[in-house]
Amino acid sequence: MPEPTITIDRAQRSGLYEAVCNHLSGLGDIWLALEVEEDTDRAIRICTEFVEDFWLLGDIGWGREVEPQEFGLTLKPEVLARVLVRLRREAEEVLAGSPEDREAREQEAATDRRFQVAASTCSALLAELGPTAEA
Amino acid sequence: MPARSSSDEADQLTAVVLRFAENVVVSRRRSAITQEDAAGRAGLHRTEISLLERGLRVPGLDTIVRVAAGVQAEPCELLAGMAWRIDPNRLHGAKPPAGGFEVALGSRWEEVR
Repeated sequence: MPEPTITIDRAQRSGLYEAVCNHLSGLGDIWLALEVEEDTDRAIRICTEFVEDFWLLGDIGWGREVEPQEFGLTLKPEVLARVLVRLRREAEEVLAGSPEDREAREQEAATDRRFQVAASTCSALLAELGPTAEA
Repeated sequence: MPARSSSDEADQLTAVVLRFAENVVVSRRRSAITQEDAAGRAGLHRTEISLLERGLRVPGLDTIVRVAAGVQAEPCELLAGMAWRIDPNRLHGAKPPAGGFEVALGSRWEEVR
């Protein structure tokens, strides 16, 4: 058993586990790359990423719920760095969303702000009308 | 009929999201398109396709249309099998519609069991 390169806590493990699981949902892409697209290079690249995911799961546990409070990562530093760079990029993609998503969220936020003004304006005017206005 | 709680509506939302997830997976596999390619076609990150297929994202209307293009399906195919049971308490005394309280969102129309 190789010595751990680094140790992570339970919360860090939970984050890595989520990112790995999200990546693993594309496992079938290996077959599609090989059989449908006949793109061997792509299949190898995808497969390598999944193999590295499996190695990481070997360190942090395959189940969603696990007992240990700490997890030693035994991947070689260069492999671990490659996995972490990939998982960080994917996590950042999730957090950022697409440019169109951000634009849509900004539009919704602008609409919300207008309705907040509408609600506060109504409240202010009703207050001016007196306590019986809302009866 | 017992009044339905907001938790029931939350359950319904979960069911809708999971059905969408299943429909995306089925459509993508039928079209033999990788997550990467589906994402590329839809102008989304691959991670977004993953989240949708895992039922961890509630898609917006624009996302539904884009993902449909990404997996070479009609948007309505991604909504197939969904239904929303109307809480009778929200009918404000009106009679329930003939045939039940469910409004189909996709191609399948189901009655309340």
